Amino acid sequence: MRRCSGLGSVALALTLCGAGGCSRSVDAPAPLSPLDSTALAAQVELAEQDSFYLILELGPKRLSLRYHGAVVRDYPVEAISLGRPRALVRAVEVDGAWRGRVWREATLDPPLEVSRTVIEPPASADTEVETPPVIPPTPEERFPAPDRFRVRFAGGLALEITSREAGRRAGLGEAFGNAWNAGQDGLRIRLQLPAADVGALYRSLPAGISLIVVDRAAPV
Amino acid sequence: MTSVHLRWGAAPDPVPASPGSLAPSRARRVGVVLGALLAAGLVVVGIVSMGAQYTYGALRIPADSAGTPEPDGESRKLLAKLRKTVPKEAYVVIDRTNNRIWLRRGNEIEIEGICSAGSGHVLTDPTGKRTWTFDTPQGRFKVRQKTADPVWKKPDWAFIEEGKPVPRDPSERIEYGTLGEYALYLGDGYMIHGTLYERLLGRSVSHGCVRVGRDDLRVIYKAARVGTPVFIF
Repeated sequence: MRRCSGLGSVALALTLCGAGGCSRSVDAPAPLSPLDSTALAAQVELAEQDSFYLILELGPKRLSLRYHGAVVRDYPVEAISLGRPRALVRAVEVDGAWRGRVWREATLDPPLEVSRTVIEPPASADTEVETPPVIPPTPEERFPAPDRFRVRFAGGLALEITSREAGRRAGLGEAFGNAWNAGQDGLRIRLQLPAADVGALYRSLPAGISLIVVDRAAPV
Repeated sequence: MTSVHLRWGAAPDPVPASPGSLAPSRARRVGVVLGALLAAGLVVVGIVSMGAQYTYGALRIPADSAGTPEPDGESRKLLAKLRKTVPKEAYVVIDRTNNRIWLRRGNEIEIEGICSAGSGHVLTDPTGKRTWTFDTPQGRFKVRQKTADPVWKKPDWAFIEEGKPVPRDPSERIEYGTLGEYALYLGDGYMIHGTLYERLLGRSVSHGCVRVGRDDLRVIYKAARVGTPVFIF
């Protein structure tokens, strides 16, 4: 029985280490100048398109939704961490060229479900039957948002959007779920936002949006 | 009823086996096997999860002590292109899902308020020939016209929704007061306007227009001019 409990302790330690994602320090990549011409060209390319896009600034910790260069919405980022895929216990090195380039075709995981109500018009206006007034749902009721989700871009980058509260609640079950889906993303950037902003971003993120990650956005 | 007293670090007191129950030694063996299976399972799950997880680490970008360097020729051209796209004046931003409205000037937020955008409901003409989806459109718009004391010219769907016949006389479509004090026209029949139902602000209830509370509407109307950009996401 003693051997068995020893094995159990090792197993539990392995499981908890795997589930927690073994936090380590990540070497800061070489600074990318806000005037780096490749990153600037990517920002110009996005600003000239007729669509919304995201800019993640790692230095000031700022995620902003933009259109034609105009800041449309700011999401305050409380913490940023970089998740690299791991082959057994060794982190796989990721090419540093993930900053300053355009990531496109975002998809939400889990996807946002949109259900529509079909209105049945009354046969005539002078109907005798009084229908009780219906209080329309709030955005939170209409589109329930998870407290943790991913915005996955073509090419292997994913933003993992979470809140401090969700981090505290994350259990073993979620870690195993992550393990099941692991390998889909070459690189994950985990952004911790205030809980209300996590939900707001999930509900209103324009479909198929593009992203650029920079140290600092160009001064405009 | 038999009670068993267990003490930490000691085997339980022997209990006489009753017919149909497991003998103590057999029960211990079953316990050991189950424990071993559970531990082995945990080892497998641990190894699998360690092999398929991500290593997270805090990412710190060193502060740029030298500040922004002087742009070179190529960067200067790109910066000029980028600056050309950014609106210089105030602009309106609407979050049509979370029902929020802002008046912004670059990084500055001048006002932030609640609004009511499209309900997303679907209405079909009883003949089945026409269908309307009450969504607020997404994208970049601009204020095409500003009106005080706007008059609503009711479209066909407003009559169909109420079960009324669509009038032939255009004067029967006119309704006063429904749109509040002001309206900003965005094109294709979409407007930012006031509402009689301020208690419903924050909920998606409109037919595609954006309803705003009286105080916020007054500020937006004053700040906006014809041509002011309106971003709806």
